[in-house]
Amino acid sequence: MSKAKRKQRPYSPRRAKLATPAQASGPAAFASLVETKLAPAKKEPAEAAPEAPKDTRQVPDALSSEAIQASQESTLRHRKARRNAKSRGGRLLFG
Amino acid sequence: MHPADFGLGEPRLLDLPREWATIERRYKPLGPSSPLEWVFEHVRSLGASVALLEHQYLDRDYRDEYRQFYAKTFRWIPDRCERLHFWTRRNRYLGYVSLRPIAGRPVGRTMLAPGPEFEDDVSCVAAGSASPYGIRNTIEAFPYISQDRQYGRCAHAVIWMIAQYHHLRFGAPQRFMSEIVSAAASVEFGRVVPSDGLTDDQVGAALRYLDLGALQYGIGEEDDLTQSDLEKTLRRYLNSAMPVALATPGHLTAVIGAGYERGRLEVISCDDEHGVYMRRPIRFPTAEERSGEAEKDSDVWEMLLAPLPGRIYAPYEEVEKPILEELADLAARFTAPDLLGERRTRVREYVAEVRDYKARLRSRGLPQAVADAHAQVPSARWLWVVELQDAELAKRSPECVLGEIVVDATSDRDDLVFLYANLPGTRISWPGPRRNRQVVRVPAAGVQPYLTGTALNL
Repeated sequence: MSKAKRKQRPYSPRRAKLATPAQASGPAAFASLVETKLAPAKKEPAEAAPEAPKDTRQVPDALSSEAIQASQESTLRHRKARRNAKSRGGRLLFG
Repeated sequence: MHPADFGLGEPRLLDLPREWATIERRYKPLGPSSPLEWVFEHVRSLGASVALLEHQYLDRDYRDEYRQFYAKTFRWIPDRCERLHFWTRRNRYLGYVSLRPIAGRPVGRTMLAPGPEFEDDVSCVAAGSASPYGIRNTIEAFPYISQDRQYGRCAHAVIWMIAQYHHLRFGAPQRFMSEIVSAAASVEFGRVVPSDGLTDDQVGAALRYLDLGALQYGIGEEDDLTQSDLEKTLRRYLNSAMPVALATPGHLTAVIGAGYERGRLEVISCDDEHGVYMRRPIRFPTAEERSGEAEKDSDVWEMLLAPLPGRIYAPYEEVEKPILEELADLAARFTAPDLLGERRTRVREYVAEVRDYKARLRSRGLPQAVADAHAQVPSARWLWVVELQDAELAKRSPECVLGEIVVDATSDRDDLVFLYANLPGTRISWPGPRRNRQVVRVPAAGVQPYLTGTALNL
C-alpha cells in the first residue's frame, strides 16, 4: 500500500485498542461518577425521559423490522453452519 | 554456522544493511526456510539498521519442544537458541526472532511489529517484551512461531499463536507446545509424535483444554455460511481483536486482521509456513465446490474456528435479534423526533473486556454523564457491545457512533442481561437484580457522533 493511500486512512486499530487513554487518578477522578445517579432523580422530573408510545418513524433503518428479520435468518444460517461443522468433525486434517 | 554450533559465540551488534550478508551466511545451514526469509524481508522493509545477536538464548518454548522430543533423538541438537533483535536508525525496536537450531525449521517464538504496511488492518496485536542482556525492550505484535514439522504441525503452531496472544493480551495462562500436543492427543487413536497433523476435532479439543473453546463455522459445503454471513462473522471477531483460525484444505492459519481493498474485504493471515502478516483475499467456495461436484482448490475456505475466552457464553448471532429489538424499542420510545433524521445507519458489534471498555469510555467522546453512568454499572468480565453507527460517516471516520447497547456476555440466550445503553439525548440502564429499565434524559445539542470502540471500524 502506498504511503499516500495509508495517509488517507484515518483509523488506526493500534491507537484505538492499545493506546491507554490518559486518565485522571486519585479520589477526584470519581467525583462526577458518584454524582451521577442511574435512576432519574425524584426531585428533577425533567431528568426522566418520557416513556412515549412507540414511534416507529424514529427507528433507524438498521433496526427496522426488515433488518431484524434478516438478522434472524442469519442467526439460523449461523446455527446450521455450527452444527454442520460439528457433524463433519474429524474429516479435516491440517498438517 | 552448523546448527550443532549454536551456543557458541558472543553478543554481536550488526550494522545493517552492510552486514545482512553476515546474518544470511550465519543461518544459511538452517535453511531454506520461507518464514526466515519472510522475517528478514519484513525487517528490511521496516528499515532495520541494527541487529543484535543474542547468543545462548534459553527460549522456554524451544526448551519445551527439546525436552519433549529432541532430547529423545540421537542427533546432536543443542538445547538453546539464538535470538536476533532489530532496531531502526531512530532506535525504534522492531522486535525479535528466536532461532531454533533445527535445520529447515529455524523460526521459533517471534514478535515483529506489523509496520505501516499492515498496522491499520491488524487488530490482534499484544504488547510483549524482550530483555536481551538485561536491557528491556517492548514491542506490539502478533506472536508467531513456525512449525518444526515433527513435534508440531501447522495446527499446533496456530493454536500456540492464538494461546500466546490471549496470554499477552488478556492475561490467559501461558501455554507451551507440549500442552497443545497433549490436549490434542485426547482424541487421537494413532501415535502422536512425530505428528502427522491434527484434525478439526483435535484442534477443537486442544482449544477447549486451553480454555479457549471455539465456535466452529462450516463454510465449504451446502447449508454452511453464505459469503455475507462469513464477512459479518469475520468483522465481528476482528473488530473484537479476537483472532480466528481458518481451515483450508490441509492447512490451518490464523486470521488477525482485515481491511477493504477496492471495496472488497481482504484479511491479514498469519501463516506458520510463510510469515506473520500476509494479505489474502477471501476465497469463498464456488457452488460446485460447495456441492462436491468440483474438487476444492488448496486456497478455498472450509471452516472458521473462533476461539473465545471462557466466559463469553452467548454466541452473538444467537442474541442479535433480541438486542436489535431492544435497541429499536429504545429508539422508538426515547429518541427525540428528528434527532436521527434520515441518516443511513448500520450496526456493528464486538466483544470487549469490561476494564478495557470502561477505560476508553471517557476518551471516545460520549457525554460525561453517560460515561459516568455506564462506568458504575457492575458486570462480568466480558461484554457484547452493539453500536448504531452512521453508515456514511463510518466509511471515512471512526467518529461515527450514534448510540450503543451493552449486554452481559454470560447471558442466557433466552434471558439477556442488558446492562446499559445510550442514544442521542438519552441514557438507559438496567441496574440491580430486578433489572428495571431506568431512562434518563441527557441534554444534547443535536447528534454528536463519537468514536467507535471496534478495533478496525470494519
